[in-house]
Amino acid sequence: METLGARISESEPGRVVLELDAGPQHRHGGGVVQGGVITQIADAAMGMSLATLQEDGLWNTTIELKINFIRPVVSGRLRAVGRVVEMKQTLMFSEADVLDEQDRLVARASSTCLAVPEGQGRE
Amino acid sequence: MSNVAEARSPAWSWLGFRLVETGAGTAVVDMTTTENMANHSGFVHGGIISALADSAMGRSLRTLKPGVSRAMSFDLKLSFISAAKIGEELRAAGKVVHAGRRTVVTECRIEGKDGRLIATASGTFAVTREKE
Repeated sequence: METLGARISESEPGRVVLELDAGPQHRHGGGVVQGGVITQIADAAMGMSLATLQEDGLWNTTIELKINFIRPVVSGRLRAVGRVVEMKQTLMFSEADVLDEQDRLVARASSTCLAVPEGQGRE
Repeated sequence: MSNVAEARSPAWSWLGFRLVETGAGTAVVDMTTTENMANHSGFVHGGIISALADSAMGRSLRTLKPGVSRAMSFDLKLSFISAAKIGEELRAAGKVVHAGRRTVVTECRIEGKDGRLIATASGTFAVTREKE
């Protein structure tokens, strides 16, 4: 999060929004923001949205993640909106939309996470 | 519930998929699960649910304007959230997330009759679009 320059901009039970100002340091040789950067903010937004509904002392770790890259981004503010789909006993499911400054859909992700004691699997 | 008139594929008929309704970039498909769709645990096999999701998503993109003359799934992903019981009626709601010239991204929710979330899915299709 800190390395990338992302920050939490909104947080409520079941939903967390992260922001990242995408610049030259986030681009690959093709001149657009690298997919791993977009995946990172989507993954973090999803994990944090689940954490808002978990008991104190618990965190989670991603065990499966899928993402569709829909539109390339060169620069500007990216928003990753993570939301909870379902909380089960052992597994938790979440989704995230990554949007550009004009609120256009850049990527759509889904993940499955496993509950772990806080301190494990945390950045 | 009235079924929308539809030229059905053999797979749709064999699996008993029923088109319930379509909208702009959406399609709802129902099915009634039967004994021969059970897995080892006696619940509905995941492949059957995957086929239903794929069909609902594939049908949703057929409502796009300009039209889609050819479509092929090249990526299909499911998260199985609750087990579906044999005999249970399943409803898949497919929705277009992004419609491009060559690819279409879709997603789907599969629910039981009681509204319980059974699975979520996403699919990407290679398409040929008609000219505007």
